[in-house]
Amino acid sequence: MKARNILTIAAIALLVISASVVSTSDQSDADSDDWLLIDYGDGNTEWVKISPSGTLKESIIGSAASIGISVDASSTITVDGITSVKTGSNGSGGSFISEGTTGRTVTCNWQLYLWDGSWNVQSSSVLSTDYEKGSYALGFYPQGTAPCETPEWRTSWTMIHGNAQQDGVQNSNIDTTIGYKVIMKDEEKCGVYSSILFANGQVIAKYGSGMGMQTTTNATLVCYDLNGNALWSFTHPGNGFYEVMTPAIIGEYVYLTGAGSYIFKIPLSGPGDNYENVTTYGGAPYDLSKVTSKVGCPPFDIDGKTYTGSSYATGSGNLIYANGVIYSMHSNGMVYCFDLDLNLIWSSERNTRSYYDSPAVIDGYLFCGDLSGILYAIDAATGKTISSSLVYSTELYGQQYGSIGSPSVIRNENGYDLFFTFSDGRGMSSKVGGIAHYTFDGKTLAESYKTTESGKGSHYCTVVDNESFTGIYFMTSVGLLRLSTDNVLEVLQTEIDPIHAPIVLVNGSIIYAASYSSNGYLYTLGLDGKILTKQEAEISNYSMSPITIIGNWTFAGNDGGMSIMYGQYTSVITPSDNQPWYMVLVYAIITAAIIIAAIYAVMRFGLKVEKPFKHIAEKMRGYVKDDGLSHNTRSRHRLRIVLLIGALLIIIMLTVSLCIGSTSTLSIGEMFGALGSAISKGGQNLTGDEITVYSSRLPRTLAAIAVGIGLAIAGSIYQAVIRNPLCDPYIMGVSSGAGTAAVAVIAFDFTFFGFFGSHSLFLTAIVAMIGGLLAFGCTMLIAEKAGGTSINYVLAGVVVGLAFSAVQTLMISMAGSKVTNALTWLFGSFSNVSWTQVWVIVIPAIALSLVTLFWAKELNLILLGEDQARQMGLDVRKFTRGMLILASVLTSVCVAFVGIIGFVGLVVPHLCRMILGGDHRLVLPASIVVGAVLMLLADFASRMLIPGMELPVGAITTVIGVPVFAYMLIKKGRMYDG
Amino acid sequence: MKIIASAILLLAAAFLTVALSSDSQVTVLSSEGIIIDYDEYNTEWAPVDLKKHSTARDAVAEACSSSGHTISFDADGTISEIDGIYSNGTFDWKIWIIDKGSTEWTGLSTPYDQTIAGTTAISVAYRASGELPTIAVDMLGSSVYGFEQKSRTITLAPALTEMMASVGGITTLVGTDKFSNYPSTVVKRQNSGDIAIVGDYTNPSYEAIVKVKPDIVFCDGSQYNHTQLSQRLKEVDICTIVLYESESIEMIRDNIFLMGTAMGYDIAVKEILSELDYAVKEIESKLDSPYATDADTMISLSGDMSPWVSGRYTYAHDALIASGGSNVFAEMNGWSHINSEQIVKRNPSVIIILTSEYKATQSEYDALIASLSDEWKGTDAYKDGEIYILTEEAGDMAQRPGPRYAQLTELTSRILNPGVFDDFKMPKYIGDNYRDYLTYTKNLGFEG
Repeated sequence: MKARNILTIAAIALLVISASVVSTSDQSDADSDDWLLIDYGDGNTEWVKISPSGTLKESIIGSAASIGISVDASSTITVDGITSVKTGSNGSGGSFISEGTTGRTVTCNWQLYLWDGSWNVQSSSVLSTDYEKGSYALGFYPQGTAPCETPEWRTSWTMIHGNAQQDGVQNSNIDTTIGYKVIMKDEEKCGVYSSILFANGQVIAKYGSGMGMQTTTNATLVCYDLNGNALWSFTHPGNGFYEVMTPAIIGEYVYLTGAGSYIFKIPLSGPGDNYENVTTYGGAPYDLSKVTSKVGCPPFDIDGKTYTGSSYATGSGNLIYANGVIYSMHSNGMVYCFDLDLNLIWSSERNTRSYYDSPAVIDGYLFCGDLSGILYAIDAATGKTISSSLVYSTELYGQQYGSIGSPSVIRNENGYDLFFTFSDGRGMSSKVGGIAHYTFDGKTLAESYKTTESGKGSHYCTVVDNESFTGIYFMTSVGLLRLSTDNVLEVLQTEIDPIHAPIVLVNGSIIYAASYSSNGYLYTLGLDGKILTKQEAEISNYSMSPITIIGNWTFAGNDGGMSIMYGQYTSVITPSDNQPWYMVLVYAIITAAIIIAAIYAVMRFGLKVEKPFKHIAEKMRGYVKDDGLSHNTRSRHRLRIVLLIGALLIIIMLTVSLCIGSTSTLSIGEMFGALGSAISKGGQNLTGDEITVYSSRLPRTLAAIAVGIGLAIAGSIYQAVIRNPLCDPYIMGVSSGAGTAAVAVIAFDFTFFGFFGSHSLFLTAIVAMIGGLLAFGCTMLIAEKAGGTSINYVLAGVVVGLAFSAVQTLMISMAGSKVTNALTWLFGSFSNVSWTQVWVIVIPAIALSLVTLFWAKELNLILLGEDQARQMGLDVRKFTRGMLILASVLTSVCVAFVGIIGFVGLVVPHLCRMILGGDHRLVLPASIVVGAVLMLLADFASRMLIPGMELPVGAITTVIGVPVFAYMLIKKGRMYDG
Repeated sequence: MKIIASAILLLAAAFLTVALSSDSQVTVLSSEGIIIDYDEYNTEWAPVDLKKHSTARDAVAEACSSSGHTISFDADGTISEIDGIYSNGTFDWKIWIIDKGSTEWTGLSTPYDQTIAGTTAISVAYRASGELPTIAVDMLGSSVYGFEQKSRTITLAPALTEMMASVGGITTLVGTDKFSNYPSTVVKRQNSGDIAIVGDYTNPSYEAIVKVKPDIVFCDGSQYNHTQLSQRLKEVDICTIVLYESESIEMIRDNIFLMGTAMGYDIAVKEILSELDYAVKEIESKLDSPYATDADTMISLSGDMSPWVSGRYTYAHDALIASGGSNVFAEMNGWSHINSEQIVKRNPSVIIILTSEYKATQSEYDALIASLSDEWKGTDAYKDGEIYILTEEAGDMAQRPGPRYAQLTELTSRILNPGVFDDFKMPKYIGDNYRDYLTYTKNLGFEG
C-alpha cells in the first residue's frame, strides 16, 4: 500500500474516532438495555428501562408503573386513563374563511411500536407473548405516525416551548465537566428568529429572509447534523424579518409555517432535489407558482372584518400538535385545526387577529388569545368557543389595542390554571405589559390575578411544579419573576441583561436564558433567581424565541443566524486587559531600575570601578566637552548623543502611544502582534485590537511625529532667517489664513467654490492649506514691496495675520451653533487623522524638513548677519525668500490636518540651541527629534489625561513646554544677552 | 548641487504623497434596491440587483414584480398604476433619484429610460406635483435602505439616543455619548457597563467606538467631529448614518425615520411617527377653540440680559407655532444671540426659558426673576408673571431635538392656553416632574 493511502486511511480513522468521541459522549448510553418509551403525542415523553417480568404486557405495565404511569392493555391500550381521542365532527361549514367543522375527523389511539432501527406498529396480540428482548414504545398517534424519539436519542424538542401545554420544560443529560465552545456559527445568512427544533440527531433551523442572504424574499429551512453540517434545505417565498414562527416536528415530518400563509409538510429525510417530497394543504404537492401567487392558502384578510391592533401579515403562528392534529393561530383572526396531511378539520373565529403566538392544548381544550386582549377557551375537538374573557386592552387614538401571550397550562383539581403575559398590543411600540393568571373549570374562564407591575414580558412562561412552588417563572423588562398558583408575585432577579426570549427549565432545577442585548450572554439561573453562570456566548444574541437545550448542546437562533454550542456555561471573568495604563509606566520604571542596578553591579563588581556612575558621567562629559577636542568633533559628539537619546525617546513614546489608549492597555507583545497581523491583512477586515492599534492609534501617532518635526523645523528656520528669537511658525500669518479658511468650511459649509464635495475628509485640510499659503502670499507681496528684508517679512506677517484673524473672529461670532465645531479645529487635535490623510501629512512634512538639512551651513551664515553672509557669497535675498516659502509650506501642511498647535515651533529650536549652541548643523537634526518627542508626549497626554476625552493638543504642548523652557531659560538665558 | 538634491527630494515626496493618499474605497454595506413610496414615511424597500438593469424603468418594473406588486406603464412611459393605486393627475407615480454625493431628489422624466448608474437612491413615489419623496439619504448622502437589521448600535448625541428609544432600538445600544441620560434604562445600562460611554458630544472617541464593535453608529451632522469620524468608521466597515441638524420638527421626524429605516425597524418607525403626529394633531385640534390665545412669546436659553433666543428654523419655534403662540423673534434665523434692547422692543407677553441651570423650586425661580435685567422687567411677561422656566429634565427634554418635541409642544400649549387646557394649572417652573403636566403625550415617553 502506498504511503499516501495509509496516511489517508489514518486521517479518516482519526476523524471517525474524534467524531465518535464527540457524539457518543452525549448520545444516550449505547448499552444493551431495552427501553420503553411512552409518547403522549403532544411533545411529552417518558423513557424507562424495561424490567422483564413474564409477558410483554406485564413487562410494559410494570415498567411504566415504576415511573408512576398507569397502563392498561388488552385489545386497546389505555395510558393514564386515556384510550382514544377523536377530533372533528360532522361538517358545519368550516373553511379557511368561515368558522365551523369540515366533516373530517382524526382519531388518535395508543399504539404499540417495536424498535428495529425504526418504530414498527405491533398488533395487540404480541402483548400476551413472553417478553424477550427489544425496545418498545407506546405512542398516542393516529395510524401511520410514529414517535420521533429513538432509543439512541431519547430526547427531542419538537415545538416552540417543548409541548402542547407550553411549559418550557426539558430534561437533559448534562455533563458539567465539559467546557463551553461554539461548534458552529452560521452568521453569514440572515436571521433565525424562531426556535431550533431537534429530533433523532437532526437540527432544524428556519432562516427568515433578509439582505444578508442576497436573495429577495425567500425563507429557508435548513436541517443540520450536530456538527453543523447542512444535510438539506428547503426554500420558499417568505416575508423577511417576519418569518419568526417556529415549525413543529411530528413523527418523521417537519411542518413549516411560512409568512406566505402556507404550511408545508417536509420529510425529515429531506424535501427532494425538486421538493417533490414536500406537500401542503390537503396533501397537494409543492407548487412554486401557486405558492408565489398564494393560491389555495388561507387569505390574510377575511372580507368584511375590521381588525385592530398591530399585527403583520405573517400567516400561521407557531405550530402546536396534540391528539394527532395540528393547531395554528392565523394572522387573519382564525384558529385552524389540521390533520397531518394538512386537511382542515375545523376553524374558529376570534375577535381579531394574532401574530407569532400559539395556543396551549390540554385534555380536549385549546386556550389562546388575540390582539384585542381577549382570552379564549375553545373545544379542541370542534373549534367551538366555550368561554372568552377580555384580559387587557387600551384605547389609543380610536383603536383598541391588547395582546395575550401564549398561555401555559397547569392542571388542578377543579380544572386548569392558565398563565400568560399580556401587553397593550402595540408591537414594538408597546409600553405596558403584565402577567395574568386565569382559571378554567371546563365551562368558564375566570380571572384570578392580573398585574402590570411585572413589566413587559416574553410571550411564553415556564412552568415550575415542585414541592415548594407551583406556578410559572417568566422574564420581563424588570427581570426574572415568578407567580404561583396562589398568586404570589415575586421578583427574583433584576441584575440581568434584557431578555426577551422565553426561558427554559432544564431538569427541574436550572433556568436557561439567552440575553436579548447584543453582549451575547447565555445565562443559567437557579430557581431562587440567583445567576449561576453568565457565559459570553461568542455569538450574536438577539432573539424572541427560546434557546434549545439537548444534552450538552445549546441551539440558538438569533438575528445573526443560527449557532450550535456545546458544553456547559461558565461564569465570565472580566477580561484582565483593562489594567490601568499607568501600570505600564510602573513596569517601565521598575525595568529601568533593574537595568541601572545591573549596570552598577557589573561595573562595580565586574570591572571593579570605584564609583561607576561618576565614572560614566565623566566619560560622557569628556565625550562632549573635552577641551582637547576640536570644536567640530565636540559638536559632532554632542549631536550623536542628542540623536541617540532622541531616537530612543521616539521609540519609547511610539511604543507607549500604541500600547496605551483610552479604552485598553495592551502589552508590548500584544501590540506588536495586533500591528503585525493588521499590516499583513493590508488593513482590511480588522478585528478588535487590530483596529485599535492600526487604525486608531498608529495614524495619529505618525501624524504627531511628522507635525512635531515640521513645526520644530519651521520654527528653526524662521528664527534663523529673521534672526528674532520670538519667531514661531505662525509669524507669517499662515495659521491665521489657514484658520480663517477652516472656519469658513466648518461653520459655513464653504466648499472652495464647489471644487470639493461637502464633508469630504480632505475638504477642511486642503482649504486650510490653501488659506495658509494665501496668507503667506499676501505677507510676501507686502514684504517684497516694502524691500524684502526679514524685518519687512515680520511686520507684513503680523499685519496679514491680524487681518485674517479679524475675519476669522467675525465668522466665529456669526457661526451660531457651530462655534464649538470651529473652536475644536482651531485648538488643534490629532483625533481625526485617518489612514486616508496620514500620508498627506507625513511625507510632505518630513521631506520638507529633510530638505532644510542641506541648507544648514547657509543658515549659519545668515546668522552672522546679512552683510557678512553676502560677503561669503550667499545671495541673501533669494535664499531668505526660498527658506521662508519652504517653512511656510511646511507650516501649512502641518496646520492643515490637525489645526493650530502652538508653542512647539517656538520652543523646540530654542531648547536645541541652549543645549547645542547656534550651529544649525546641530540645531536642525536635534529639532527633528525633540519636536517629534514633544509632540508625541503632547498627543499622548491629550488623549489620556481625561480618558475618553480629547483635550486640545495646543494647550498640552504649552503646558509641557513652559516649565521646560523656563528652566532652560534660567540656566542658559545668558546666551541671549548681546 | 544642493538645489538639485532638494528638488529631487521634494519631487519624490510629492509623487509618493499622491500615490499613497488616493481616497480609500469605502465598502458598500447595504444591498441594492428601489424604494416604493406610497406616502410620506410610508415606504417599502424592494431589493433588486441594479447592475442587471440599464434603465430606471426596467429596475422599477423588476422591483415591483419581484416584491409582488403590479405596475403598469402608459404608452408614453408614465406609470399609470402600482399595486392598484392609480396615477390620477393630482397624485402621480414618478421616478426620482439621488445622485452620488448629493442629498437632493431629482425627478426623472418619462419614459424613464435614463441610466441609473451612479445613483445612491431610486424611488418610485406617489406624490402631488411639487412634493418630494420621503427622505432617503443621510447628511453625507448615504442611503439608509437595504441594511440588515442592526443589533449593536451607538448614538453620539442625547437626542439621537432618545430617537433610538422611540423606534424601539434601545436594547441594541452598546455605546452612547456622555450626556445621554434619557431614557433611564440607558443610564442603568451605562452604570452596569452594558453601554459604553464613547466620549462626549462634541468629541467622540474613535478608539472607544471601535472597541465595542458596533454595527452602526448614528452621528449628529451638526457636529464637525461627527462627520469626520463617520468617514473614518466607514473605512473600517462600520456603518454610519449622519443625521441632519434638526432645524425644524419636520427635520426631527425625518431623522427619526432615517434612523428607524437604517435599523430595519420600518414598522416601528412608522408607528411612532404616526403616534407623534396624532398626539400633536389632537393638541392642535383642541386649540381650535375660542379660548385659545395667540400670545407673543419669547423662547430663550437663559435669563441673561442679552440671551440666545429661538428664531425661525428651530424646532422650538415650530413647537411654539403648533401651540398657537406667535414668536416675537420669528424673523431671526435659528438660535440667535439678541441684544437686550430687542426684548424691550418686542415686548413678549409670555417668556419661556429652556435651561438646565436651575432647580425647579420656588426659591430658585424667585432668584432668577429677581436677577432679571431692567429690559426683561419692562416686558408684559414680567409684569403679568408670565415667565416660565423648563429646567432639570424638562430643560433637557426641551433642549434636545428628539421625539419629545411632542411633549414640548404640549407643555407650551398648556402654558400659552390655560383657557383651553383647564384640567390643571401650569406652574411657573417645571422640572423632573414635567410628565405630571401632560395628558396627550404623557405616554409617549420612550422608557424601555
